[in-house]
Amino acid sequence: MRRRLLPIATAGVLFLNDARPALAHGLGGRLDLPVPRWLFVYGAAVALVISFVALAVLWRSPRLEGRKERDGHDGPLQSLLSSTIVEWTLRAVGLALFLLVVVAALGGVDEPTDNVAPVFVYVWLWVGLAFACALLGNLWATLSPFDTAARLLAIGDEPRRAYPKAWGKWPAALLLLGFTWLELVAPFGATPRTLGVAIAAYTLITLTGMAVFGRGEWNRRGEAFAVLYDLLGRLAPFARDGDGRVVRRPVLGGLPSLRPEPGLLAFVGVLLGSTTFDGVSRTSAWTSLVGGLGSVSGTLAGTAGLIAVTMLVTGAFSLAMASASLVSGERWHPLAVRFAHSLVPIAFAYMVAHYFSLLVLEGQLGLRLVSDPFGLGWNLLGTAGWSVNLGLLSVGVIWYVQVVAIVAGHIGGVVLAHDRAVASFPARVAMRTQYALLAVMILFTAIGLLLLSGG
Amino acid sequence: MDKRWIAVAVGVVALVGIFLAVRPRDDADVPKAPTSTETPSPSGHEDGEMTMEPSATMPAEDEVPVVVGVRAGKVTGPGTATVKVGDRLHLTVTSDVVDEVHVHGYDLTADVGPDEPAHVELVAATAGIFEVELEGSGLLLVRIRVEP
Repeated sequence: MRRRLLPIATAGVLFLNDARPALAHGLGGRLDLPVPRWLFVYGAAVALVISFVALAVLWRSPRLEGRKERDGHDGPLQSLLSSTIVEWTLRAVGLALFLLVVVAALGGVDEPTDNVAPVFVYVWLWVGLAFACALLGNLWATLSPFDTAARLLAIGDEPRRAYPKAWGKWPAALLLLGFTWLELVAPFGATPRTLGVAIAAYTLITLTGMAVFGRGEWNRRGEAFAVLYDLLGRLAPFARDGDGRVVRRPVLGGLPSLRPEPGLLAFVGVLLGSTTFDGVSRTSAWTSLVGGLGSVSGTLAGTAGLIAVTMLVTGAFSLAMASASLVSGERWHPLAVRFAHSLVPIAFAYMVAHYFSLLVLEGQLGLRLVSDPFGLGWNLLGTAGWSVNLGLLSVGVIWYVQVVAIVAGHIGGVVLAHDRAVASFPARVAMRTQYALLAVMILFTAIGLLLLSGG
Repeated sequence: MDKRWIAVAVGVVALVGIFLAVRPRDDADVPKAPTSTETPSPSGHEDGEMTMEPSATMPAEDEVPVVVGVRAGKVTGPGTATVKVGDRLHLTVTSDVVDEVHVHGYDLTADVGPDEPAHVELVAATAGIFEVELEGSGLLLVRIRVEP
């Protein structure tokens, strides 16, 4: 459905000159209107009906599991996509943008909305690049300034120690938790200086990790953004084959080949939990709970809330897997890790539902700020006078995108879990392990919709 | 016929049926894109001056009054004030401490103190929920919910 979009340059649009504790809610302080009840009911009904139809209809032998990427064809487009010159141009762009953000964050005006760093990191990178990776594949593999810098400085070419197997993706999970804490909870998390210090610390951790354990190893298990964009890139219908050529693959096709390892469930849990917490913290119940608290106790309450929601989400999933383990006779924990990949589409759907309007509306601020990245009154690209147009998305468009995203994420999760179940268990057992999984996915979908309609 | 296709067909019929059943008949709940006749377009004004009128201390007749009080760190008020796109709104804030009232999204500010209530007038131009806060303490005063 196409609605007429009437650009209203909202008067005075946006942008605070204060240090809001939480940028993702706070950049502009505009929140989406809650999804109306009928649409909520309909979204939940769609999820339920699809779940039960899926049980009856979906394939009986695995389709996505154990699939090999085909080899790419050679061609002019292919040689462009895999050329070293293009790769290093993109790497240079990534590194230059990183330096710009660091200089702006540490040296520019210390106002969240007059400085390019916060909107760049919290909107364009965290949300925008996530969307791009889910569509096109893992772009961070090329754009990562950490990887590029390490290559240029020959850091991590020869690891000094073997990476401890038991750590798995735990370092990445903890670092992602730290980032979401900075975004959603930390007081002054949106101010350029705080962000600059955080980026400097993260760079130090990353380069140290790469130097000690090797660049590739740390990118796979320790660098939170490399792990994040790799996970999201596995949703995309494109991949690279062994020779670096771009090949088509089914949507979601990269997730079954994700290796189950320690910390994977924790990482996905943090991703899902932080977005859920963002939804929870927008509800009036939460604001009235923490409204009267001071800065310190408010931060403590937010920290506790973020961790509690993350643990609840992971706990609910683990409970479903425990019930599946009763059927299959395996222990629940390895089972939960093996099925954690099916939560990735749901986590991404939550991201779309919560941050799509942030990217399109508040993200416009970035267009203005690239002309004046440090807040010094420059107008490099002639865009400094642009104002943010909050009328670009009608309320209806936002609602439909949110509900469609949540339902599509639900379908993705069900399909992945189903495929792995029929690949792992005999047919009858596979069907029975599905009930618990379906239940937990319906639960997540219902929670996702509930938070959208809660206001 | 294959059992699977029957399941798909039943599912599709169920979804269409539920959609028709739950969808509001008169489109009341479905937002329409605001038209220029409904919205006094404030375009071209960068600073919000257009909606910020010299502080009148009493709400005019065509304005929606919203009154919020702050005393000892506690907020009394409606919590959420719901208006329609295009409505005019008059916000009055009293406070026992000196601070600054900030209407997010519109980026309007007004000083407030024990002797001096803050008055902010604005035209609700875009749908969404906009938070009004005390700048210094970060206290949430009220949410302005603008419906299409």
